[in-house]
Parts: sequence; C-alpha cells; structure tokens
Amino acid sequence: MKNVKIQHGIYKNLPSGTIYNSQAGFLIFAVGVAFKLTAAPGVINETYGSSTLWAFMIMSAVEIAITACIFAFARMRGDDLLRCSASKTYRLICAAASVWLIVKGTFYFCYCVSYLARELFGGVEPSLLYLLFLFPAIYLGIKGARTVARTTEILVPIIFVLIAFNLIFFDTNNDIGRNLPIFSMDPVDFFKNLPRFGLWIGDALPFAFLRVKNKRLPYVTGSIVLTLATVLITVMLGVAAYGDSMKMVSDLLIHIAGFNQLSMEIGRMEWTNLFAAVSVSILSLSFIYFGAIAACDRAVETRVPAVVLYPAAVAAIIAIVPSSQSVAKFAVQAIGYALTAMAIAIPLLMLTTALVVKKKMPNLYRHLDDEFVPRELPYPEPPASLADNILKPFKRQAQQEYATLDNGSLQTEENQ
Amino acid sequence: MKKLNVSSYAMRTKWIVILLCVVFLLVFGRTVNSPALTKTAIVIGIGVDFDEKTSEFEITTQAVQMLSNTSGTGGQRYDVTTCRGKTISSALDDISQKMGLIVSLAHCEVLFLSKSALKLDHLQIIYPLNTMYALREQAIIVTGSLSPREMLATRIGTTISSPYFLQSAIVNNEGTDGLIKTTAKDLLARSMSRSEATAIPYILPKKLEDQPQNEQEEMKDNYEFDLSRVLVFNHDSSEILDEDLSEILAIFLSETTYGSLNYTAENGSSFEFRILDKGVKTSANGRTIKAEIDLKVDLLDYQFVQTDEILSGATEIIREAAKKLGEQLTDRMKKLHALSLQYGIDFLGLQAKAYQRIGRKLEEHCLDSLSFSPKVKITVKEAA
Repeated sequence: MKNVKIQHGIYKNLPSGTIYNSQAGFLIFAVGVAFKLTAAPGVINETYGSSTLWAFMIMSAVEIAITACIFAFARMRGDDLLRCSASKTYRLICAAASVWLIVKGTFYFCYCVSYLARELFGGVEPSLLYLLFLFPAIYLGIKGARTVARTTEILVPIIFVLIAFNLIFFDTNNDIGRNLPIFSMDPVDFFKNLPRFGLWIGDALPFAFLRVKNKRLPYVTGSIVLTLATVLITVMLGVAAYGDSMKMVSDLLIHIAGFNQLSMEIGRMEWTNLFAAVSVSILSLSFIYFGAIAACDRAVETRVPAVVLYPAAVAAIIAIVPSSQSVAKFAVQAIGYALTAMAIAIPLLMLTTALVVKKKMPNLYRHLDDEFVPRELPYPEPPASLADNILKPFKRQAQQEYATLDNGSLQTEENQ
Repeated sequence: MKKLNVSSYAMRTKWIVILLCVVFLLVFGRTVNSPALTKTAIVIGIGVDFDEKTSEFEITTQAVQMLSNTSGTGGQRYDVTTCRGKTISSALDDISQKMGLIVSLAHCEVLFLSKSALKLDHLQIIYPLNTMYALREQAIIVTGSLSPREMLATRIGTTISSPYFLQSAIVNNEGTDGLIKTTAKDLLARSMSRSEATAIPYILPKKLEDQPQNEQEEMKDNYEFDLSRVLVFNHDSSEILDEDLSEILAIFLSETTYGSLNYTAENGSSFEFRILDKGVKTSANGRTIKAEIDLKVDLLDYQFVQTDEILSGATEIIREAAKKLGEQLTDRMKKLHALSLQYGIDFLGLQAKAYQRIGRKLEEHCLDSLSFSPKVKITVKEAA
C-alpha cells in the first residue's frame, strides 16, 4: 500500500497497531466520559452523598497514576520488547489483563443497557438493546484500535461541543456547598468503600498494546487534563444541583443536559447528551474489547478466545440473568475490590517487567526496530567434511601429518 | 497481530454493518412499542393525592387534545381524568385505560401534590414519574387549598387550563411577584438534605367576581389563582406563610426572582421598586449562619410623597426609602427564622448549611442550637 506523507512526518497509513497521539487523546476523552460520567456519579453518590466529588478526585488521582504507567509502558515500546523476549511473565499478565477486560467490558455493557433502558427505550425488550450495543462494539473491536481511533476522531469533537454547550448553558437552582463536607462518613469507611468502584478505573489499559506516534502538540496530556476537568466540573455541578438525591440519576451526562436554559425555548435538550452518551459508550466498549483481544493474542498467540468470550459472556447474561441492573449492582459489591486490585496491578506489573527485561537485555531493546538479518559469521564454516573423521581442534595437528586433498579434506589412512 | 479468519470483504466494508442496522431497524422498528402522537395523551398537569384511610393514591391528569374540523380550524380540549391505585403507576395505567391513550408526562410542567402526599417519601413519588413516565425534573411542584383533582379541574378565566396558567406564571416567570419556584429536583434535593424541609407555592383559588364573556353568553365558573402564599413543610408538619413572609422567602430560596417590592412609610408615602437582580450569600461559621441578600432595584412608582420634584434613584428620599425597605425585609427574615423554630421546620436550610461547615459531627435535628443573622441590602439602580 502506498503510504502518502501528508505533512510534518505524518503519514496517511500508519503501521498496524500504531495510532497518533491526537487519536489517543480523543480516545482518552471518549473512554473517560463514558466510564466516569454516565452511570458512575449516581452509583457513587448512593454511598458517598456529599463526598461524591471528593471520591471522584481520589479516583481520578489513581487513574492518572495508572494511565501514566500505561503510557510509560507504551512509550518505551514495552509490548514489543516483552514479545520479542518471549517473556512468560508478560504472557501471564496479558492473560490476566484479557480476563479483566472481558469482565469489565461485560459489566460496563450491563450498565449501558441499564441506563438506556431507563432513559431512552422505556418498554423495549432489553435483549434488543443488547443487540443495539453489541453489533457496533464487536465490529469496531474486531477491526482494531485504528478503526476505533478514527471513528473517535470524527465523533469526539462533536460530542465535546455538545457537552460544553450543555455545561455553558447549565441553569438551575444549585448550591456548590452541597459538595461539603468532604467526609460525609468516617474517613476509614470512606477509604474502605472506595475500591468497590473499581469498575470505573483503569480504562486506558488497551493503550499498552498500541504504539503511539507523536504529532507536534501534547495531545495525550492535554486530553487527560480536559477529560478530568470535564468530569470533575460535571460531577460538582451534579452534586450542587441534586445534593444527596443524585442517587436517583442513572446517567448524569444525560440529566445535566435537561438543565440547559435553552430548553425553555426549544424544548427538552436531553437528546444532545443522549447522543453523546450512546456514542462514547459504544466507542469505549469496542476499545475495551480490542484490549481484551490484543491481550489474549499476546497471552496465547491467538485472538479467538477473547473474540468469542466477550460476546458469549453478554449472551449468557441475556439468557441467564433476569435484568442487567442486577449485574450492575453485583459489579460494585465484593468483586469491585478485585477489579480495583487488577486495574492497579496489571499496568504496574507490565511496566516493571518491561523495565527488568530492558535492563537485562539492553541490546534487544536497542535493536527493537531492526529488521531480522542472519548474522554473518567471522569465520566461514569449512566445507562439508568428506568424512576424514578429524575433529576441528585436532585439524591443525593432523594437517601436518596428512596431505590435504583438493576438496579440503585430509588424506588419512581410512581415506586411502 | 494474527488476523481472524473472516472474509476480507466482511472485514473491510462498512456496508455490511450498515445493512445489518437497517435490517434491525426495519424488523424491530415495527414491533417495538413506540406510540404515535395520535395515540399519546399529552399530559400538561398531574396531581397526586393520598388517602391516608385506604392508603391509596388518587392520581389526576389534565391532558390536552388537539381538535380539528372540516373547515380546517383547530382547537384544544382539556380532559381531566382521575383514577385511584395502591401505587402511582397502577393509577396512571388505569388512566391510560380510561382514556384509550398512552400517558406521557414528557410535556408536563406542573405537579400538584396534596398535603397528605407531601408527608410521604418524596423520592418514591418523584422517581416513578421521572423514570417511567418521563416527567421533567424541572417540573414545578405546587399545592393548594383544594385537592389536586379540584385544582386541575378548575377553570381559569384567562387560559382555561390551570396547569397551563401555572406554567406561564411560574415556569416562564411571567408576573411572578414574589412567587417561589420549587422544581421536582429541588424538592428532592432539599428534602433529602439535613434540613429535610422546603417550601412550595400554596394556591388559593378564588371565584371571579366578574365572569368573562364570549359572543353568545357569559362563561360561568371561572376562577383566579392567588399565588402569593407559600407552604413550608417537612415530613411531619406543614404551615402556610402569609404574603409578606412568602415574598422574602421566595427571594431567599429561588434561583431567580422577578416582580416588585413595596415600601409604605409611616407618613403614608408609598414606593414600588422593581427587582432587577439579586445575590444571596449564605455562609456558616460554626453554628452561626449568616445570610446576606443583595437586591438591585429600580424605582417603578411612588405615591403620596410630599414633593414638587421628579424623583429618581439618585434622590435622597428614594435612597432612604430603599434603606428602610432593606431593614423591613431584614426584620421579615428574622421573623421567618422565629417561625422556623416555632414550627420545627427548617425551611431556611440552616441545618444543611451548618452541616456543610461542621461536617458529620453535627447532630441531627439541631435547629434550636443554630443562630441566624440575616441582612438585606437594597441598591437603587436604573433599569436599561
């Protein structure tokens, strides 16, 4: 395929598994908004009340640390290094990552269906909603990160404008003081409960399996800052408007659009953020799905288990579990602690393993980009022996005793 | 990365996915229960009453029906329907059955609640209406001297429909002279706060002394709504505040305030100020709550003033009248606090404010232990 150079060293067609940092930035925004602003605020408010914003801040700090680990790993080409070194540890980590992403994706899928069932399709058979989400998420996930990234590149600017538009025109009776006190419960309980919400952290893990090519501007850092600002401002306004009653809000992103002051003039505005919520949810689900497939590929050298398992898990839920809401509830119980532990441990282990292997095999790391060429030996192999039965170390001594034939072999007694 | 064994055509083309979506929509779009507008009852007002003896809800809806005749001219008809049920949803389902239409509250802006309904868990009243019937969180909550059923059936002289009148008066801020605006969201936010209390408009319907007339005859049984009072309540009790106190409470609690303020001096001179803007700042310092209300007003009218000059905001008499009005409103705020203590209803939200400052160590139901220091400052400006 002809690779057309556009400008500043940016190519139209990137190598497989490579995305631009601008695309990574858009993906971070989509995933951040989908995971942090849809169902999470209402669920977290149920436990934390006025401390919701502060819980979000602590979770955001953890998320920044995790994302920093993941991008450090991606920037140092940790994935390539560990694959080249055939590290068994990395395979194990990838296996765990694949399982974790499938579980996370399945739980999140249930949240998406749960809020859509309430917000958009009242009275519609939930299995239809499963299909509505499943088709595009699977299609994009299988196509790979570049397809997801390109789709995100088109949709996220529109989504950002919609969210900003609704925040700018936000107008309702609110009290910012409702975000106080910081600890609505005992600090011990505050920190003890926080890991239960592990479903909503570690969303950037699939970046570990990608190469990020830089454009001029620091898109990734900018996007992380912008995403966190959007999330925290929205949550702050949500608590200011609803107070402790935010627990009834199944999707804050959609509800906040209802307070757009233009809705007095042009009717209900929830549809604007509903479009945003559905789009970012599908993009995030497909990105998580891609991550599960990529991790599986590295663990067992085939994508098939993850490709099959994720839709199978969703299908199993349709068949077995009576409602998606019960799965959503289950995700914030004891299993939430396991999800948090995995979300923190996997990127840390990946980065540590990559650093250890880099230190152990500096030459391998240095030559990661080199083409494989068989090494030229300093001493060419002698021609095939004509069965003179003399080992190489004794050859010089034997050459003094026996005459050498034209083909290089010695004329020993046996040869005679 | 190893690729899946899927045909390259299926992997490359987007059309297969688009086709699947189109098929999906074509097949399921017809079977999904998405009601047409002609099959939907567009409810513009809903009333919730609760019978404590039978533990049954009495739900009343007022739906608007668009009429059309052969000449092409249309009209509107307002249908009031009432049903009872053990839950709000069952009563609404019965209303659907009665009307032969699917009830949608997506366009409903007014929710009438009876005093008995206000004693119930507010979240359990609002939640089903909001999630299952698409009631807006911005819908306003009102109550009154009549039951919600009677309120919805009341014929208003100017607009016929009472919810439509309230929508114009409260939601669109038209003629809202000291009228408090409490939405469904505000009701929940305040009743679930530490204060557990809030305030909503209390409507007094009065029969019109002079009934309106059309070309043929006099139109009978028309009413007007007096919206100048406020009901303050928590889950245990409720009280009605008079006009003056309702006015300053509306300024203190509402997000935006429109309308005018009157000051009548001891010598009989009367001044009317129009509210241009307001700023309410409430802060807590331990158990002392300070409220500063900063009102920007414009001189609207004055009567019985012994002067030959044309008065304006720059005149000393007006400045003095504004200052006196500020003091009068401060006294009313103090009176509100006294009533709040007397009734045991924290409608000023003092406990919620103290909780924000002191934190979880603040004991519940501690209204008596909190002090309140209000101050109203009025600045006379010129309107554009």
